[in-house]
Amino acid sequence: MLPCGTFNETYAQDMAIVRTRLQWGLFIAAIIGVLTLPLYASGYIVSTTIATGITLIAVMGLAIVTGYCGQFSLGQAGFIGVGAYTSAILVSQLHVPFLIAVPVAGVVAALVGLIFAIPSLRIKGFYLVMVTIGAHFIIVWTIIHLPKLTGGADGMVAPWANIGGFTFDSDTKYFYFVIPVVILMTFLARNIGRTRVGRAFVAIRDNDLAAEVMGINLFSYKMLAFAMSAFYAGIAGALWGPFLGRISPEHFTLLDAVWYLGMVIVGGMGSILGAVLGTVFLRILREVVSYLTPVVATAFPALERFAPATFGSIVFALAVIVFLIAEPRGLSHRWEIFKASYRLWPFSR
Amino acid sequence: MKQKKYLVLLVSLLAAVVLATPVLGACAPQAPAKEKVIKIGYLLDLTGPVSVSLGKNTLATWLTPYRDLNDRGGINGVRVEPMWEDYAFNVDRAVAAYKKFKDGGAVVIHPITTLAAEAIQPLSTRDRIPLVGNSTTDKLVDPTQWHYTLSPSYTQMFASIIKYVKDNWKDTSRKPRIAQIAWDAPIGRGHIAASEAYAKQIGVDLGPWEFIPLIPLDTTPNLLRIKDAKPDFVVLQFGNNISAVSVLRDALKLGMLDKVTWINGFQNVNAAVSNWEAIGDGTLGISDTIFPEETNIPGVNALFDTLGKYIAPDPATKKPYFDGTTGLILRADLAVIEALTRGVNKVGFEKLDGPAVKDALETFKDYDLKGLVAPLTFGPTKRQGQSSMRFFQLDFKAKQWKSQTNWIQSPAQYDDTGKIAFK
Repeated sequence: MLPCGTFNETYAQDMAIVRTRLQWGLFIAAIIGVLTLPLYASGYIVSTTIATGITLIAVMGLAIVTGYCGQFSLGQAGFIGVGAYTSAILVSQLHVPFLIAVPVAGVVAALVGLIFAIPSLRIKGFYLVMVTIGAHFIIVWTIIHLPKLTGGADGMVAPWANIGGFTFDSDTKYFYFVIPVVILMTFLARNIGRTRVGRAFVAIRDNDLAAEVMGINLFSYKMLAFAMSAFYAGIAGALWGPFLGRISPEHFTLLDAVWYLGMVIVGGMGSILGAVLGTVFLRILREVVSYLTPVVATAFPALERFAPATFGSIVFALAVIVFLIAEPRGLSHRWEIFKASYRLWPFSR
Repeated sequence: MKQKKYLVLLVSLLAAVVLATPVLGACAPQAPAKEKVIKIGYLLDLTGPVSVSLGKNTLATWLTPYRDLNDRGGINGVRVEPMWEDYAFNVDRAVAAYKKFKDGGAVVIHPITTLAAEAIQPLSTRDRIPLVGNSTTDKLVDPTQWHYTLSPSYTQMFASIIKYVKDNWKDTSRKPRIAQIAWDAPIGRGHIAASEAYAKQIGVDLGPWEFIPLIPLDTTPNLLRIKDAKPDFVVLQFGNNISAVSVLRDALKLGMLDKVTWINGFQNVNAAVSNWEAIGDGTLGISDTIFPEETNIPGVNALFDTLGKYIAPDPATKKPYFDGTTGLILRADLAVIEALTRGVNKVGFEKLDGPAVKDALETFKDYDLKGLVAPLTFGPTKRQGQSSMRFFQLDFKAKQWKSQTNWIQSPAQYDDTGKIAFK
C-alpha cells in the first residue's frame, strides 16, 4: 500500500522496493547508522550485530525454502556447518583466498542441499522435516568421521578473514566485511520473491497441485529452493568461522535449526522482512533475558538457580507460541498493519 | 533518471562515510576512568544438557570465594566482581557471553565446561585474556593458547585407567579388555587415538568404542555390541549423570551389570551420588576432585568454613552443600583469586590486565591449594597445572565415593609443545 498521493505511473515505479523520498531518506539513514555503529557503540554491540547479521543470512535462506516455497526444513544448521568447514578447509589447507572461499562454500552447501532435496519430490510436511533432520545428522556424522580433513570431533581452526593482505582480526574490522555481505544477500533474497522463480515458489507453497497443473515443474523448483536456502546457509557458515576462530561439530546443533525456524515464524513466513524482524526480535529478546537473569537472581536469591536460569528457554519458547497463536503471520504482518494504519489515519480507526 | 540520481547520491554518501570513519573514530568519546573493581568473567551451564549434573549446587556456592574475599576487604582494598552468564551449552551464547565479559573489562575468565573453554579459547588468546578452568582436552593445553587448566585431560584420564587395569590384572592367560561408552563429542572421542597407541604399548585391548547422544533414550544397541566383545571393564564417559544412569539401567535389563567392572569418568564421579539410585554400587570412578566427606583434607574444612558464612546448611548433613563438581569450581575460584592477588601485588590495580594475570598464573610453582588438588605449576609453555587423579569406589549405602588410591600422576604427559607422550 502506497502513501496517500503517491501513484505508480511507470513500471519502474511499480517495481521499486524503495519508492518515495522519505523511504529513500530512511533507507540511507539506516545504512549510515549501521555502517557507523562501531564509532558509537560498544564492542559487545558490534560483535552482537555481526552475529545477528550472520544469523540473518541463514534465516533468509530458510525463509526462501520455508516461507516462499512452503518446504519446512530443520537442516539449516547442518548446511551452515558445510559452509563453515568448506571455507575453513579451502583457506587453511588449500590456501584459497577468503573472498573466493566464501562463495565456493555457498555453492558446496547448495550442492549438498540439492542431494537432500531429492526426497521433496515424494514427501512433504512433517515427513520432509524428518528428512531434513536426517540431513543434519548425516552432515555432522560425516564431519566427525573425516578427521584428516575436518579435525573430526576436535574441530579445526578457522583462520581470520584475509583479503589482499588485510586481515580482519578484530570485530570492528570484520564488521565492515560482514555487514555489506548481509546487505547484498538481503537485496538478493528480496528480489528473488519478485522474479519468475519466486512466484513459482509461492505458487508451490499455496497449492502445489494447482502449480503443477499450471506448468510449474515442482521437482526442479523445490530442488532450486533447497539449493538457494543451502547457499545462504553456506555463506553464513563461511562467515561464522573467522568470527569464532575455531569450528567444531558442536557449533552446529539441531537446536539452532529449531531457533532459525522460530525466527522465521516470529518474523512472518513468506517475506524477507519477516526474516529480518524475526532474527532481530529474538536476538534482542536474548539480550534482554541475559540482562534480566542476574537482576532477578539478585532480587530473589531464593529462586536463584532455577527461575533465572530457565528464563531464556521459557521466554524464547513462549515467544514462538504467542506468535503462533496471536499473530501467526508474524511481525511483518503487524508492520504492514501499522503502516496501513498510519497512512490512512484518521480513517484507519 | 531520478532513480539514477538517487543511486549516485547513495553511493556518494556511502563513500563519504567510509572515508570519514577514521576522523569520526578519533572524535568518539573517550572511555571513562577505571572504577576500583576487578572484573572477571564466569561462564557456566545453569541450563542445557550438562546442567543436570549440577544437582543441588547453586551459583551462590560457586561465587562464595569472591564474596568472602570482598567482605574481607578484597585484594588490597579492591573488590573482585564476577560477571556471570549462562551459556546453556551453546557455542553462540558462549561467544556472545565472552564478548560481553571482554567489553565489561574482564581480566580473566572462568569457563566451567569444556565446550565453553574450547569455544572461546581462540578469541581469548587473540584478545589476551587468560582462561582458568578445569576443562582439559588435548587442544586446551596448547602452550600457544591462553587457557590454564587445573585438571588432567581425558587422554591422561584414560591412560591412567589403562595403567590401573594393567597393574591390577591377575589373569596371565590373556590381556584385559576395556570398552568405552561415551558421548558423541570431544569428551568421548578426543582421547581415542592416543589411548589406542598406549594400550598397544603396555598390552591392553581396547574397544569397542560406543557413542551415544547427549541425552540418550535407549543405549541397548550400543551395550549389545559391547556385550558381544566381552570386555572386562567398561568406561562411562559423559558430561552428566543422566547418561550414566540410562546406560546402567539398560545394562541391568541386559544382565550386564555384574558381568563387567564399570569405571566412571571424571564427570560422573564429580556429580552428586544421589542420582545413582539402586544401581552402580561398587563401580569404580576416577577423578581429580575432592568430596565433602574428606574432612582429613585441610582445604575441605576451609571450604566448609567459608561456605558456612554465606550458605544455609543442607538439612541432611547440617553443613553447606557441595559435591565433587563444586569442589572443582571452587578450587578454580581460589586459583583465580591467588593469580589476581599476585598480579595486583606485582603491577598494581591500575595496570592489572589480561597479560598481567597470565604472568601471575605462570608464577605458580607447586602452589598448594590445601589438598583440594595436587600442587599447581604453570609456566610460559605449561598450561596444565597438574595431572594427578585418584581412583574411587562407590559405596551406595553410604552414598559416597571412597578413595581407593592416593594421587596418581598420569602416565601420559604433555611436553612444552603440547604433544602427549607416554611413560
